[in-house]
Amino acid sequence: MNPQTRAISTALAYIERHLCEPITLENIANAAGYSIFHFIRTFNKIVRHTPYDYLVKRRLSRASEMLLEKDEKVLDIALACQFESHEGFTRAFGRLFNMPPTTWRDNQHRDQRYMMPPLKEADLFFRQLPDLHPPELILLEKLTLAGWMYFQSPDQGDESSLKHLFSETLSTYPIPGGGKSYWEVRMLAVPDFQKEIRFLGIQVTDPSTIPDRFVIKTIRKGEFLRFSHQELSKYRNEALNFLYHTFIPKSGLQLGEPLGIECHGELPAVFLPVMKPAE
Amino acid sequence: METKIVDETSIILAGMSFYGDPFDTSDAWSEENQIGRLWQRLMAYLESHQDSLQGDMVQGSSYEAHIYGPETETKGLFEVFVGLRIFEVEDVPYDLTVKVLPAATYAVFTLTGRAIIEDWETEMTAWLEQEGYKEAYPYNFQYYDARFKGMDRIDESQIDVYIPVEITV
Repeated sequence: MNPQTRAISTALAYIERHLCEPITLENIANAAGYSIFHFIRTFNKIVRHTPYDYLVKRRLSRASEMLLEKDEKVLDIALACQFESHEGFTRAFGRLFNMPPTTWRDNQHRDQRYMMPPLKEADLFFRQLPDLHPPELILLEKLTLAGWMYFQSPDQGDESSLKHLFSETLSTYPIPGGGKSYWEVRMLAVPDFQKEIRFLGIQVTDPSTIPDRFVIKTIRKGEFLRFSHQELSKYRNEALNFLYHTFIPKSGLQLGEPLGIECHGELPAVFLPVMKPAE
Repeated sequence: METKIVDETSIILAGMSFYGDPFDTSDAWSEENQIGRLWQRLMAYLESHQDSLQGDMVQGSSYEAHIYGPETETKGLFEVFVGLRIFEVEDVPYDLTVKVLPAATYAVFTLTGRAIIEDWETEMTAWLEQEGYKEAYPYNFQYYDARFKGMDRIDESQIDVYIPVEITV
């Protein structure tokens, strides 16, 4: 790790240790061993957030966890997370989560698309990869997939055995005209389950020819943010952190349907539904 | 890093300013920051208004001032002013603004090569403390002249950083 990344990594750890304390940017810069000017410059370059924006987003994300886990009043949570008033907290919360804190609490849905996790060294490394290209806003035509629906814990990483079984099943029961790339769809709006609903499949042109071993899933035509990278499977979480918490909020786009789509083809890509802001 | 102490009369600058976190990039992708954009705007302006500029506007040298305030420590926000030195406030074109820096004693640090883009403030603060000075005002400025060859030739470049100082009592 280069000295700048190490210094910023130290600053991120300092922020997490003191998230609910009245720290200033000067305190954080001191922890990194930099002057405030050099710290701001370096933090922006490496994290792609202003340090103040990062601090506020982390505090709001911590508050969002507390709203789901504790019975404390919203005002008490706001004050604990260093917001000065109920109104100021509600305004800031609404900007990040698109809903008031009370609705977030009522929904009881830990929507990771809005909750910014503490960034780690792997995130910093990913954000400095020399071959990153900006995500593109595209219109994705209707997608028809044939495959399997299944449940999975969000933190349960290894799906290779399922993919292997799927691949074997495909060789036994081939789908006429089926694509070569595997598509994975994550359906994220399932607050009542601890597990995500996912779909693994391949693109098909004629649903009538699909063997009964498989089910069909269609994705409506719509606007998506497409991000591709050769090593996407290695940096999947870091890429999603960057897209959900850094790129999309800064781009002015809004999150669309609660779906995450990945295409494991020659050039792996992730597709996130987005909406242009109303004019 | 060469250092000297000088007294300066009030410095009047005509130019353009930005307030905020100048390293925040709006699209989360561009490497270009607001200070670079500010310089580009100023240079483009000067190029297209050669004829209407004041006769006494000092050409060939320029200034970048960082003016800190209460929101610097808490939110990382501050003012960046880039401009040229003038001697009369009258007749400054309406699309430029004026910044007046007070008469002051300055510690002047000459930075060479990559030191220009490194953390010179920490080093300077330590030097001031060691020599019995403190910052007199919450600003500093960088002075650019023919010795600065551009960011793409940073290794061959030199700039001066001015920090207003007073003796620690």
